[in-house]
Amino acid sequence: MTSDLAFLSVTELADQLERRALSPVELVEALLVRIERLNPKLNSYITVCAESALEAAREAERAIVAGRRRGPLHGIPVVHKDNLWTRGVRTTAHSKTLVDFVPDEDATAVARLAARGMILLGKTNTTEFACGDMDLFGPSRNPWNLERYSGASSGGSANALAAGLAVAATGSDTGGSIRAPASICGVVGVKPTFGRVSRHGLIPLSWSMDNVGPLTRTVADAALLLRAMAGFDPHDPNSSTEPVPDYSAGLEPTLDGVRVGVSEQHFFEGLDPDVDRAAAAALAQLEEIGAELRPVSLPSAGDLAARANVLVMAEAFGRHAEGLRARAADYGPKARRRIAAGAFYTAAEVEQAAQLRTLWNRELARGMREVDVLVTPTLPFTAFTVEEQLAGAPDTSWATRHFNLSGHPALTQPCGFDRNGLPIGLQVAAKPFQEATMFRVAHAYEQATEWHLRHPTTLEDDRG
Amino acid sequence: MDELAQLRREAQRLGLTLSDDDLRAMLEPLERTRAGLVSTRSQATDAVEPPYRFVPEDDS
Repeated sequence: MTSDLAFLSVTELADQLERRALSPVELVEALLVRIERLNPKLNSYITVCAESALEAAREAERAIVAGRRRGPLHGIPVVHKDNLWTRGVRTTAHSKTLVDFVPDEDATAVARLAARGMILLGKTNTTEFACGDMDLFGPSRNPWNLERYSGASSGGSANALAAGLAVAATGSDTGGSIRAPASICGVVGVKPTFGRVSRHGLIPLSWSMDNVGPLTRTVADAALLLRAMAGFDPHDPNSSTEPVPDYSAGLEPTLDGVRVGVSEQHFFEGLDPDVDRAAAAALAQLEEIGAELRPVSLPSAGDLAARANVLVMAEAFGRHAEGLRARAADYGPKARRRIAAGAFYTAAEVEQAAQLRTLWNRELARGMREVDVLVTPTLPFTAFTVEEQLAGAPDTSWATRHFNLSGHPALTQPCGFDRNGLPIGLQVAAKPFQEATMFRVAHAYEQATEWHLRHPTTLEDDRG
Repeated sequence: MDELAQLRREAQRLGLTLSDDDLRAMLEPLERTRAGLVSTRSQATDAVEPPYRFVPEDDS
Protein backbone atom coordinates (compact mmCIF):
# COMPACT_ATOMS: atom_id res chain seq x y z
CA MET A 1 0.00 0.00 0.00
CA THR A 2 2.69 2.51 0.96
CA SER A 3 4.70 1.87 -2.20
CA ASP A 4 1.55 2.45 -4.29
CA LEU A 5 1.13 5.87 -2.71
CA ALA A 6 4.82 6.67 -2.93
CA PHE A 7 4.88 6.24 -6.71
CA LEU A 8 1.75 8.25 -7.50
CA SER A 9 2.29 11.56 -9.27
CA VAL A 10 1.62 14.87 -7.55
CA THR A 11 -1.36 15.36 -9.87
CA GLU A 12 -2.83 11.99 -8.85
CA LEU A 13 -2.19 12.63 -5.17
CA ALA A 14 -3.76 16.09 -5.41
CA ASP A 15 -6.87 14.52 -6.92
CA GLN A 16 -7.09 12.01 -4.05
CA LEU A 17 -6.54 14.72 -1.45
CA GLU A 18 -9.21 16.91 -3.01
CA ARG A 19 -11.71 14.02 -2.97
CA ARG A 20 -10.59 13.18 0.58
CA ALA A 21 -9.80 9.66 -0.58
CA LEU A 22 -6.41 10.24 1.05
CA SER A 23 -5.26 12.40 3.92
CA PRO A 24 -1.94 14.29 3.98
CA VAL A 25 -1.14 12.44 7.22
CA GLU A 26 -1.47 9.03 5.50
CA LEU A 27 0.74 10.25 2.68
CA VAL A 28 3.47 11.62 4.95
CA GLU A 29 3.37 8.48 7.10
CA ALA A 30 3.70 6.26 4.04
CA LEU A 31 6.75 8.18 2.85
CA LEU A 32 8.35 8.17 6.31
CA VAL A 33 8.01 4.37 6.46
CA ARG A 34 9.85 4.04 3.14
CA ILE A 35 12.48 6.60 4.16
CA GLU A 36 13.20 4.74 7.37
CA ARG A 37 13.53 1.47 5.47
CA LEU A 38 15.41 2.58 2.38
CA ASN A 39 17.32 5.75 3.20
CA PRO A 40 20.16 3.81 4.87
CA LYS A 41 20.77 2.13 1.48
CA LEU A 42 20.18 5.15 -0.75
CA ASN A 43 21.40 8.06 1.40
CA SER A 44 18.88 10.39 -0.19
CA TYR A 45 18.44 12.56 2.89
CA ILE A 46 20.78 14.59 5.05
CA THR A 47 17.90 15.62 7.31
CA VAL A 48 14.43 14.07 7.63
CA CYS A 49 11.80 16.38 9.17
CA ALA A 50 9.52 13.61 10.44
CA GLU A 51 7.85 15.35 13.39
CA SER A 52 7.33 18.73 11.77
CA ALA A 53 6.11 17.07 8.55
CA LEU A 54 3.51 15.07 10.46
CA GLU A 55 2.38 18.20 12.31
CA ALA A 56 2.13 20.13 9.03
CA ALA A 57 0.21 17.22 7.50
CA ARG A 58 -2.30 17.27 10.37
CA GLU A 59 -2.72 21.02 9.87
CA ALA A 60 -3.23 20.56 6.12
CA GLU A 61 -5.78 17.85 6.79
CA ARG A 62 -7.73 20.16 9.10
CA ALA A 63 -7.64 22.95 6.50
CA ILE A 64 -8.79 20.68 3.67
CA VAL A 65 -11.63 19.23 5.76
CA ALA A 66 -12.66 22.79 6.70
CA GLY A 67 -12.84 23.75 3.01
CA ARG A 68 -9.71 25.89 3.08
CA ARG A 69 -7.72 23.96 0.47
CA ARG A 70 -5.15 26.26 -1.12
CA GLY A 71 -4.85 24.39 -4.43
CA PRO A 72 -3.35 21.23 -5.91
CA LEU A 73 -0.08 21.42 -3.94
CA HIS A 74 -1.76 21.73 -0.52
CA GLY A 75 -0.87 18.76 1.64
CA ILE A 76 1.73 17.39 -0.79
CA PRO A 77 5.17 16.70 0.75
CA VAL A 78 8.23 18.26 -0.89
CA VAL A 79 11.95 17.78 -0.31
CA HIS A 80 14.56 20.46 -0.85
CA LYS A 81 18.18 20.10 -1.85
CA ASP A 82 20.31 20.86 1.19
CA ASN A 83 21.76 24.02 -0.33
CA LEU A 84 18.42 25.89 -0.14
CA TRP A 85 17.66 27.76 3.06
CA THR A 86 14.89 26.29 5.18
CA ARG A 87 13.82 28.30 8.20
CA GLY A 88 14.59 26.46 11.42
CA VAL A 89 15.98 23.41 9.59
CA ARG A 90 19.74 23.05 9.16
CA THR A 91 21.08 23.67 5.68
CA THR A 92 24.54 22.21 5.22
CA ALA A 93 25.36 22.23 1.49
CA HIS A 94 27.10 18.98 2.55
CA SER A 95 29.92 21.08 4.02
CA LYS A 96 31.68 20.82 7.35
CA THR A 97 31.72 24.62 7.39
CA LEU A 98 27.89 24.73 7.48
CA VAL A 99 27.11 21.60 9.44
CA ASP A 100 25.36 23.60 12.18
CA PHE A 101 23.89 26.35 9.99
CA VAL A 102 20.18 26.85 10.68
CA PRO A 103 18.72 29.64 8.50
CA ASP A 104 16.18 31.99 10.03
CA GLU A 105 14.52 32.44 6.64
CA ASP A 106 13.29 30.23 3.80
CA ALA A 107 14.76 30.54 0.32
CA THR A 108 12.21 32.27 -1.90
CA ALA A 109 11.48 29.09 -3.88
CA VAL A 110 11.00 27.16 -0.62
CA ALA A 111 8.71 29.87 0.78
CA ARG A 112 6.60 29.94 -2.37
CA LEU A 113 5.98 26.19 -2.28
CA ALA A 114 5.20 26.40 1.44
CA ALA A 115 2.71 29.19 0.73
CA ARG A 116 0.87 26.76 -1.58
CA GLY A 117 0.59 24.36 1.32
CA MET A 118 3.45 21.98 0.50
CA ILE A 119 4.92 20.10 3.47
CA LEU A 120 8.68 20.06 4.07
CA LEU A 121 9.60 16.37 4.38
CA GLY A 122 13.39 16.72 4.45
CA LYS A 123 16.65 18.04 3.03
CA THR A 124 18.30 15.98 0.33
CA ASN A 125 21.88 14.97 -0.19
CA THR A 126 24.12 17.01 -2.45
CA THR A 127 27.79 17.33 -3.23
CA GLU A 128 29.77 19.81 -1.11
CA PHE A 129 28.78 23.29 -2.27
CA ALA A 130 27.36 21.62 -5.39
CA CYS A 131 30.84 21.02 -6.79
CA GLY A 132 32.76 18.71 -4.43
CA ASP A 133 32.38 15.18 -3.15
CA MET A 134 29.98 13.69 -0.60
CA ASP A 135 32.59 13.04 2.10
CA LEU A 136 30.74 14.20 5.19
CA PHE A 137 27.41 12.36 4.88
CA GLY A 138 28.38 9.78 2.26
CA PRO A 139 27.29 9.40 -1.38
CA SER A 140 23.68 9.14 -2.54
CA ARG A 141 23.24 5.89 -4.45
CA ASN A 142 21.29 5.01 -7.55
CA PRO A 143 18.08 3.07 -6.85
CA TRP A 144 18.37 1.26 -10.19
CA ASN A 145 21.68 -0.24 -9.08
CA LEU A 146 23.06 0.52 -5.65
CA GLU A 147 26.66 0.21 -6.85
CA ARG A 148 26.02 3.18 -9.10
CA TYR A 149 26.04 6.87 -8.29
CA SER A 150 22.92 9.02 -8.28
CA GLY A 151 24.66 11.84 -10.15
CA ALA A 152 25.72 15.28 -8.98
CA SER A 153 24.77 17.52 -7.40
CA SER A 154 20.99 17.21 -6.87
CA GLY A 155 21.43 13.44 -6.55
CA GLY A 156 19.55 13.13 -3.28
CA SER A 157 16.44 14.76 -4.76
CA ALA A 158 16.66 12.61 -7.90
CA ASN A 159 17.23 9.28 -6.18
CA ALA A 160 14.53 9.98 -3.56
CA LEU A 161 11.98 10.49 -6.35
CA ALA A 162 13.09 7.44 -8.32
CA ALA A 163 12.93 5.22 -5.22
CA GLY A 164 9.59 6.50 -3.96
CA LEU A 165 11.07 8.29 -0.94
CA ALA A 166 9.63 11.60 -2.15
CA VAL A 167 6.92 12.75 -4.54
CA ALA A 168 8.25 16.23 -5.39
CA ALA A 169 11.65 17.87 -5.02
CA THR A 170 13.78 20.88 -5.73
CA GLY A 171 17.38 21.19 -6.84
CA SER A 172 19.90 23.64 -8.21
CA ASP A 173 21.60 23.55 -11.60
CA THR A 174 24.83 25.39 -12.46
CA GLY A 175 26.09 23.15 -15.27
CA GLY A 176 23.50 20.37 -15.26
CA SER A 177 23.16 19.58 -11.56
CA ILE A 178 19.40 19.06 -11.79
CA ARG A 179 19.34 17.46 -15.24
CA ALA A 180 22.26 15.01 -14.91
CA PRO A 181 21.06 13.25 -11.73
CA ALA A 182 17.46 13.33 -12.97
CA SER A 183 18.62 11.63 -16.19
CA ILE A 184 20.76 9.11 -14.33
CA CYS A 185 17.94 8.24 -11.91
CA GLY A 186 15.14 8.25 -14.52
CA VAL A 187 13.04 11.22 -13.40
CA VAL A 188 12.11 14.67 -14.72
CA GLY A 189 14.36 17.64 -13.86
CA VAL A 190 13.92 21.25 -14.92
CA LYS A 191 16.44 24.08 -15.25
CA PRO A 192 14.25 27.13 -15.85
CA THR A 193 15.23 30.24 -17.79
CA PHE A 194 17.85 32.27 -15.88
CA GLY A 195 15.86 34.78 -13.84
CA ARG A 196 12.65 32.72 -13.84
CA VAL A 197 13.04 31.34 -10.29
CA SER A 198 14.63 33.42 -7.54
CA ARG A 199 17.98 32.22 -6.19
CA HIS A 200 17.53 34.15 -2.94
CA GLY A 201 18.42 31.67 -0.22
CA LEU A 202 20.37 29.35 -2.52
CA ILE A 203 23.90 28.83 -1.20
CA PRO A 204 25.61 30.07 -4.32
CA LEU A 205 28.21 28.51 -6.58
CA SER A 206 28.14 30.78 -9.64
CA TRP A 207 25.88 33.85 -9.68
CA SER A 208 25.58 33.95 -13.48
CA MET A 209 24.82 30.24 -13.97
CA ASP A 210 23.01 29.04 -10.82
CA ASN A 211 19.35 28.13 -11.24
CA VAL A 212 16.73 26.66 -8.89
CA GLY A 213 14.18 24.25 -10.35
CA PRO A 214 11.86 21.31 -9.67
CA LEU A 215 12.43 17.54 -9.96
CA THR A 216 9.39 15.28 -10.28
CA ARG A 217 8.32 11.97 -11.82
CA THR A 218 6.09 13.47 -14.52
CA VAL A 219 6.24 16.51 -16.78
CA ALA A 220 2.80 17.72 -15.60
CA ASP A 221 4.04 17.69 -12.01
CA ALA A 222 7.12 19.72 -12.99
CA ALA A 223 4.88 22.27 -14.75
CA LEU A 224 2.76 22.57 -11.61
CA LEU A 225 5.75 23.07 -9.31
CA LEU A 226 7.57 25.51 -11.56
CA ARG A 227 4.52 27.74 -11.79
CA ALA A 228 4.42 27.89 -7.99
CA MET A 229 8.17 28.57 -7.66
CA ALA A 230 8.56 31.14 -10.44
CA GLY A 231 8.08 34.88 -10.49
CA PHE A 232 9.77 38.16 -9.67
CA ASP A 233 11.61 38.45 -6.38
CA PRO A 234 13.20 41.78 -5.39
CA HIS A 235 15.72 39.85 -3.26
CA ASP A 236 17.36 38.37 -6.38
CA PRO A 237 18.87 41.11 -8.57
CA ASN A 238 18.63 38.83 -11.62
CA SER A 239 15.00 37.94 -11.07
CA SER A 240 12.77 38.55 -14.09
CA THR A 241 9.50 40.49 -14.14
CA GLU A 242 8.26 38.36 -17.07
CA PRO A 243 4.73 37.10 -16.19
CA VAL A 244 4.43 33.44 -15.17
CA PRO A 245 1.94 31.57 -17.37
CA ASP A 246 -0.11 28.53 -16.38
CA TYR A 247 2.24 25.88 -17.76
CA SER A 248 -0.32 23.12 -17.18
CA ALA A 249 -2.83 24.74 -19.53
CA GLY A 250 -0.82 24.03 -22.69
CA LEU A 251 -0.14 20.32 -22.14
CA GLU A 252 -1.48 18.36 -25.11
CA PRO A 253 -0.90 14.83 -26.42
CA THR A 254 0.13 15.92 -29.93
CA LEU A 255 2.78 18.21 -31.40
CA ASP A 256 1.23 19.32 -34.67
CA GLY A 257 3.09 22.37 -35.94
CA VAL A 258 5.92 22.14 -33.40
CA ARG A 259 9.43 22.43 -34.86
CA VAL A 260 12.03 20.31 -33.08
CA GLY A 261 15.67 21.20 -33.69
CA VAL A 262 18.27 18.42 -33.93
CA SER A 263 21.86 19.60 -33.71
CA GLU A 264 24.20 18.54 -36.51
CA GLN A 265 27.17 18.80 -34.14
CA HIS A 266 28.27 17.39 -30.79
CA PHE A 267 25.05 16.23 -29.12
CA PHE A 268 24.59 13.01 -31.08
CA GLU A 269 28.32 12.18 -31.38
CA GLY A 270 30.23 9.64 -29.29
CA LEU A 271 27.16 8.30 -27.52
CA ASP A 272 26.97 4.98 -25.71
CA PRO A 273 25.23 2.71 -28.28
CA ASP A 274 22.17 2.26 -26.04
CA VAL A 275 21.87 6.03 -25.56
CA ASP A 276 22.24 6.44 -29.33
CA ARG A 277 19.41 4.00 -29.99
CA ALA A 278 17.16 5.58 -27.34
CA ALA A 279 17.78 9.10 -28.66
CA ALA A 280 17.04 8.03 -32.25
CA ALA A 281 13.86 6.29 -31.12
CA ALA A 282 12.80 9.40 -29.18
CA LEU A 283 13.22 11.59 -32.25
CA ALA A 284 11.16 9.13 -34.30
CA GLN A 285 8.49 9.16 -31.59
CA LEU A 286 8.36 12.97 -31.60
CA GLU A 287 7.85 12.87 -35.37
CA GLU A 288 5.17 10.23 -34.93
CA ILE A 289 3.12 12.54 -32.68
CA GLY A 290 3.31 15.44 -35.08
CA ALA A 291 6.59 17.27 -34.56
CA GLU A 292 8.65 18.43 -37.52
CA LEU A 293 12.35 17.63 -37.10
CA ARG A 294 14.74 20.27 -38.42
CA PRO A 295 18.56 20.24 -38.50
CA VAL A 296 20.28 22.95 -36.48
CA SER A 297 23.90 24.01 -36.84
CA LEU A 298 25.80 24.62 -33.59
CA PRO A 299 29.47 24.35 -34.59
CA SER A 300 30.97 25.30 -31.23
CA ALA A 301 28.67 23.11 -29.11
CA GLY A 302 31.56 20.79 -28.26
CA ASP A 303 33.92 23.59 -27.19
CA LEU A 304 32.19 25.08 -24.18
CA ALA A 305 33.85 23.35 -21.22
CA ALA A 306 36.75 25.78 -20.80
CA ARG A 307 34.71 28.97 -20.92
CA ALA A 308 32.10 27.55 -18.54
CA ASN A 309 34.71 26.25 -16.08
CA VAL A 310 36.59 29.54 -15.94
CA LEU A 311 33.43 31.53 -15.27
CA VAL A 312 31.91 29.13 -12.74
CA MET A 313 35.10 28.70 -10.75
CA ALA A 314 36.08 32.40 -10.84
CA GLU A 315 32.61 33.27 -9.55
CA ALA A 316 32.73 30.45 -6.98
CA PHE A 317 36.09 31.65 -5.68
CA GLY A 318 34.67 35.15 -5.35
CA ARG A 319 32.03 33.75 -3.00
CA HIS A 320 34.37 31.44 -1.10
CA ALA A 321 37.57 33.52 -0.90
CA GLU A 322 37.12 34.44 2.75
CA GLY A 323 35.93 30.96 3.71
CA LEU A 324 38.89 29.33 2.00
CA ARG A 325 41.35 31.72 3.64
CA ALA A 326 39.88 31.08 7.08
CA ARG A 327 38.92 27.40 6.92
CA ALA A 328 40.56 25.72 3.91
CA ALA A 329 41.05 22.49 5.87
CA ASP A 330 37.30 22.28 6.53
CA TYR A 331 36.56 22.05 2.83
CA GLY A 332 36.76 18.55 1.31
CA PRO A 333 39.68 18.10 -1.11
CA LYS A 334 37.57 18.20 -4.28
CA ALA A 335 35.57 21.32 -3.36
CA ARG A 336 38.68 23.07 -2.01
CA ARG A 337 40.69 22.38 -5.15
CA ARG A 338 37.94 23.17 -7.63
CA ILE A 339 36.92 26.42 -5.97
CA ALA A 340 40.48 27.57 -5.22
CA ALA A 341 41.37 27.01 -8.89
CA GLY A 342 39.15 29.98 -9.64
CA ALA A 343 41.71 32.20 -7.93
CA PHE A 344 44.38 31.39 -10.50
CA TYR A 345 42.65 32.51 -13.67
CA THR A 346 43.81 35.93 -14.80
CA ALA A 347 41.46 38.85 -15.33
CA ALA A 348 42.14 38.50 -19.07
CA GLU A 349 41.13 34.83 -19.04
CA VAL A 350 37.88 35.57 -17.22
CA GLU A 351 37.10 38.37 -19.68
CA GLN A 352 37.85 36.08 -22.64
CA ALA A 353 35.60 33.39 -21.19
CA ALA A 354 32.80 35.97 -20.92
CA GLN A 355 33.37 36.99 -24.54
CA LEU A 356 33.30 33.36 -25.64
CA ARG A 357 30.07 32.93 -23.71
CA THR A 358 28.56 35.76 -25.73
CA LEU A 359 29.62 34.10 -28.99
CA TRP A 360 27.96 30.83 -27.92
CA ASN A 361 24.80 32.63 -26.86
CA ARG A 362 24.57 34.31 -30.27
CA GLU A 363 25.22 30.99 -32.04
CA LEU A 364 22.49 29.25 -30.03
CA ALA A 365 19.99 32.09 -30.61
CA ARG A 366 20.71 31.90 -34.37
CA GLY A 367 20.46 28.10 -34.35
CA MET A 368 17.09 28.14 -32.59
CA ARG A 369 15.55 30.89 -34.70
CA GLU A 370 13.70 28.45 -36.98
CA VAL A 371 12.75 25.90 -34.33
CA ASP A 372 10.64 25.87 -31.16
CA VAL A 373 12.78 23.51 -29.11
CA LEU A 374 16.10 21.71 -29.31
CA VAL A 375 16.18 18.00 -28.38
CA THR A 376 19.37 16.20 -27.30
CA PRO A 377 20.40 13.26 -25.15
CA THR A 378 20.94 14.60 -21.60
CA LEU A 379 24.12 12.57 -21.13
CA PRO A 380 26.15 10.42 -23.53
CA PHE A 381 26.27 7.59 -20.95
CA THR A 382 24.18 6.08 -18.15
CA ALA A 383 24.93 5.87 -14.43
CA PHE A 384 28.56 5.26 -13.48
CA THR A 385 29.71 3.65 -10.24
CA VAL A 386 30.25 5.39 -6.92
CA GLU A 387 33.91 4.35 -7.16
CA GLU A 388 34.23 5.99 -10.59
CA GLN A 389 32.71 9.15 -9.14
CA LEU A 390 35.28 9.23 -6.35
CA ALA A 391 38.13 8.59 -8.77
CA GLY A 392 37.04 11.40 -11.10
CA ALA A 393 33.60 11.44 -12.69
CA PRO A 394 33.05 11.69 -16.44
CA ASP A 395 31.81 15.02 -17.83
CA THR A 396 28.20 15.22 -16.63
CA SER A 397 27.78 18.71 -18.13
CA TRP A 398 28.48 17.38 -21.62
CA ALA A 399 25.08 18.43 -23.02
CA THR A 400 23.79 20.71 -20.29
CA ARG A 401 26.27 23.54 -19.61
CA HIS A 402 25.18 24.98 -22.94
CA PHE A 403 21.96 26.27 -21.43
CA ASN A 404 23.55 27.53 -18.22
CA LEU A 405 25.85 29.67 -20.33
CA SER A 406 22.96 30.99 -22.41
CA GLY A 407 20.21 31.05 -19.77
CA HIS A 408 17.77 29.02 -21.88
CA PRO A 409 15.31 26.69 -20.11
CA ALA A 410 15.91 22.94 -20.45
CA LEU A 411 14.53 19.78 -18.89
CA THR A 412 15.37 16.11 -18.88
CA GLN A 413 12.86 13.27 -18.96
CA PRO A 414 13.21 9.47 -19.19
CA CYS A 415 13.49 8.10 -22.76
CA GLY A 416 14.64 4.51 -22.27
CA PHE A 417 16.93 2.10 -20.47
CA ASP A 418 20.30 0.63 -21.35
CA ARG A 419 21.19 -3.07 -21.51
CA ASN A 420 21.85 -3.02 -17.75
CA GLY A 421 18.47 -1.55 -16.92
CA LEU A 422 19.80 1.94 -16.21
CA PRO A 423 17.74 5.00 -17.23
CA ILE A 424 18.50 7.20 -20.24
CA GLY A 425 17.47 10.87 -20.37
CA LEU A 426 16.21 13.11 -23.17
CA GLN A 427 16.84 16.85 -22.92
CA VAL A 428 14.33 19.37 -24.28
CA ALA A 429 15.54 22.99 -24.40
CA ALA A 430 13.39 25.96 -25.38
CA LYS A 431 13.86 29.65 -26.04
CA PRO A 432 14.12 32.03 -23.05
CA PHE A 433 10.88 32.12 -21.04
CA GLN A 434 9.26 29.58 -23.36
CA GLU A 435 8.95 26.92 -20.66
CA ALA A 436 5.36 26.33 -21.79
CA THR A 437 6.60 25.05 -25.16
CA MET A 438 9.27 22.93 -23.47
CA PHE A 439 6.64 21.34 -21.21
CA ARG A 440 4.26 20.82 -24.13
CA VAL A 441 6.85 18.83 -26.10
CA ALA A 442 8.01 16.83 -23.08
CA HIS A 443 4.46 16.04 -21.95
CA ALA A 444 3.38 14.87 -25.41
CA TYR A 445 6.43 12.61 -25.60
CA GLU A 446 5.74 11.28 -22.09
CA GLN A 447 2.11 10.52 -22.98
CA ALA A 448 3.26 8.53 -26.01
CA THR A 449 5.71 6.41 -24.00
CA GLU A 450 5.80 4.49 -20.72
CA TRP A 451 9.36 5.06 -19.53
CA HIS A 452 8.22 7.29 -16.67
CA LEU A 453 6.02 4.50 -15.28
CA ARG A 454 8.90 2.14 -14.53
CA HIS A 455 10.30 1.97 -11.01
CA PRO A 456 13.53 0.39 -9.74
CA THR A 457 13.25 -3.36 -9.36
CA THR A 458 16.33 -3.71 -7.16
CA LEU A 459 14.20 -2.30 -4.33
CA GLU A 460 11.29 -4.72 -4.88
CA ASP A 461 12.15 -6.77 -1.82
CA ASP A 462 12.03 -3.67 0.30
CA ARG A 463 8.60 -2.44 -0.66
CA GLY A 464 6.58 -1.65 2.38
CA MET B 1 58.17 21.90 -11.13
CA ASP B 2 58.31 25.58 -12.16
CA GLU B 3 54.55 25.65 -12.52
CA LEU B 4 54.10 24.16 -9.07
CA ALA B 5 56.43 26.72 -7.50
CA GLN B 6 54.63 29.51 -9.31
CA LEU B 7 51.25 28.25 -8.12
CA ARG B 8 52.60 27.94 -4.57
CA ARG B 9 53.80 31.56 -4.62
CA GLU B 10 50.48 32.75 -6.01
CA ALA B 11 48.53 30.83 -3.36
CA GLN B 12 50.68 32.43 -0.65
CA ARG B 13 50.11 35.88 -2.12
CA LEU B 14 46.34 35.27 -2.04
CA GLY B 15 46.47 34.06 1.54
CA LEU B 16 45.32 30.53 0.62
CA THR B 17 46.58 27.62 2.67
CA LEU B 18 46.86 24.92 0.03
CA SER B 19 49.10 21.88 0.30
CA ASP B 20 51.40 20.74 -2.48
CA ASP B 21 48.98 17.83 -2.99
CA ASP B 22 46.22 20.37 -3.56
CA LEU B 23 48.35 22.40 -5.95
CA ARG B 24 49.53 19.34 -7.90
CA ALA B 25 45.92 18.20 -8.28
CA MET B 26 44.95 21.65 -9.57
CA LEU B 27 47.75 22.00 -12.14
CA GLU B 28 46.40 19.67 -14.83
CA PRO B 29 42.79 20.99 -14.82
CA LEU B 30 44.07 24.58 -14.86
CA GLU B 31 46.34 23.89 -17.83
CA ARG B 32 43.62 21.95 -19.66
CA THR B 33 41.13 24.75 -19.17
CA ARG B 34 43.63 27.41 -20.27
CA ALA B 35 44.46 25.38 -23.38
CA GLY B 36 40.74 25.08 -24.09
CA LEU B 37 40.31 28.84 -23.88
CA VAL B 38 43.27 29.46 -26.18
CA SER B 39 42.03 26.97 -28.77
CA THR B 40 38.56 28.51 -28.88
CA ARG B 41 39.90 32.06 -29.13
CA SER B 42 40.34 31.38 -32.84
CA GLN B 43 36.73 32.54 -33.01
CA ALA B 44 38.10 36.10 -32.68
CA THR B 45 36.68 37.57 -29.53
CA ASP B 46 38.38 40.96 -29.71
CA ALA B 47 35.27 42.84 -30.81
CA VAL B 48 32.86 40.96 -28.59
CA GLU B 49 31.27 42.79 -25.70
CA PRO B 50 30.46 40.46 -22.82
CA PRO B 51 26.83 40.85 -21.76
CA TYR B 52 26.16 43.18 -18.87
CA ARG B 53 22.65 41.81 -18.50
CA PHE B 54 22.25 38.10 -17.99
CA VAL B 55 18.53 37.49 -18.16
CA PRO B 56 18.24 36.21 -21.72
CA GLU B 57 15.78 37.47 -24.30
CA ASP B 58 13.83 35.59 -26.90
CA ASP B 59 14.98 37.18 -30.16
CA SER B 60 12.94 34.99 -32.51
